[in-house]
Amino acid sequence: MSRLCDQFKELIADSFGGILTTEQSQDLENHLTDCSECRAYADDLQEEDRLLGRWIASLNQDMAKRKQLLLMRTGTNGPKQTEKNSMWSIIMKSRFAKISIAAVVMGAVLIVINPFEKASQNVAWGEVVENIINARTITWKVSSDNDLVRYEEYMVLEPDFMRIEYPDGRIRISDHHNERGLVLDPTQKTAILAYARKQSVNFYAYFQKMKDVDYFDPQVIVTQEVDGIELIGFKKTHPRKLNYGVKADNTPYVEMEETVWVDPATDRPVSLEQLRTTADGETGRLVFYDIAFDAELDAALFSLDIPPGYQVIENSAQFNFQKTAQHMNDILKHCAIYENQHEQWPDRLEDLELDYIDMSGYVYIKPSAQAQGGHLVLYEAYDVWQQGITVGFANFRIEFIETESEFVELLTAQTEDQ
Amino acid sequence: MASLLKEDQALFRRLVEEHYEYVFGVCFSILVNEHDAEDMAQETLLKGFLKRDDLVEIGQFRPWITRVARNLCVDFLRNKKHRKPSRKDPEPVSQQEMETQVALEMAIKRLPEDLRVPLLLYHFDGRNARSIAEHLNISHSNACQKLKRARRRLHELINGRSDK
Repeated sequence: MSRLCDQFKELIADSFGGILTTEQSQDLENHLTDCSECRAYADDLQEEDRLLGRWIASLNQDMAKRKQLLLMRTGTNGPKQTEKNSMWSIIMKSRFAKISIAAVVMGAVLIVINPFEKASQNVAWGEVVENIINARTITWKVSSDNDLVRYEEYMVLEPDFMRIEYPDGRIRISDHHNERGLVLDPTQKTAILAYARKQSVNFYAYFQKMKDVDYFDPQVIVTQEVDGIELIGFKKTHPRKLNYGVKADNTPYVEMEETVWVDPATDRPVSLEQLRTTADGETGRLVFYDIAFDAELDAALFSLDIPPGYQVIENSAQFNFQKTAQHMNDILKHCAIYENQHEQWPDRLEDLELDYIDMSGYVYIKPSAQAQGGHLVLYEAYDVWQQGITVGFANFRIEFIETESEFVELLTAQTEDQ
Repeated sequence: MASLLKEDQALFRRLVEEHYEYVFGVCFSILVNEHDAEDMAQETLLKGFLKRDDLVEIGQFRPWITRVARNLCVDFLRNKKHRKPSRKDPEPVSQQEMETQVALEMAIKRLPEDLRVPLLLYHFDGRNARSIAEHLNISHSNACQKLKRARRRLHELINGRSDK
């Protein structure tokens, strides 16, 4: 390489900053016409510059979302300052203009716009969270086109108590901190002592999660008019996973899109829709409606004391089975999530980092890649066989096995298969 | 920038609106990790907002916030043992481009900080060497020199010539 080329390479590097004089540019152009080595060098630098530019551009794509998150976290998501806005943004700040433009473009009732513009104009999700984050009670009702939903009315006394009233009159009260529950049947005057899981993963936990702006960071804002009120919907499509529940036939839902509808008059959620989809594209819609925060609820509604005149039905074996089955169910569900992320089951249960379940009482058998759904993966450890043990299978089935011989037979058959 | 000296929450919004991209760019240039840069940009703007009385000369806001960001990022690198993987990588369209992209990212990480920061900020900030010079409080010719050296060094690192 000549010294002349060295000098031109300096110019090539300079040229990306646009700092060459006209004369230098002309000299460089002439040199590149004749020198293939410098031309290759210039092409390389140009390609690197292009890739670097594209990388930075991809990082810049999420800038608006990052800013919005920061403003939410700091409670600074009030109306934007307007003095520096361009004419277009001022026009777009008018709801009328926005709706008119959207109507022309879409010709539809639903209007989908940039979440951050809309959020800043009306309600930001951060404000909604701010309004409910300290709510002490929550009540709501549920309806669904999914036949698995049996619950009608929910009441929650933060942070641990929940009361569910079933259509048939039965009432379930749960203390999720002490893992105790009670099912009351007013017609039979019976009270069944039940298990309540430590960390609920049902709707109760869901509403708690809703308060977490990091968990529910809405991507799209939609609006709809209900009874003359324009509700604002914060919509999020969750990543594809296995943990969105199952259909009645046990087909798992793998995708979920949810929308929280907020009344702009109160900045609080009034309903929530979950649209879940199986891998085959079948859908199930679940709607939580009449959501109310901080309703006056008597603490006695959540009492685990047995009401007078009720006969207590206590079945410790049943209670223990419920508790173990619930824990196993949670473990298997987290195994499925793990498998979804890592394409294999965990080597050890500790890898699941499920800190609320004492997993030392369970024996885990990692299924091979070829293992079928009926593969035994989890069972209760025991020293001396008593009434029986609970076992879990790779297809999420949980069973109680009463006799040791039956269990040994199951275990032996599986070992032989492998 | 005069309004930065008023105590008003709306100012923080304005600070974020006007400077978030730049601060994120500074943090990313030092950390080369999107997650960490996001965290540190947040820290920087909050700290900058709370300590805004330390800013003596209004016109020096960007050089000042750059120092705040750099100090926070350096402390972060010193203290943080496990860094999250960057969640957004560019989407290469071919195997060859993917390999080049990986090589580019590795080379960027190996560039000395005094070259990497001007180079990445140049791309974050609309390819304007003059504004980079102002923000980093260096002369325009110095900024151009750094950009040139950064480009040449980057090319060497991508092509495996790290001995120079």
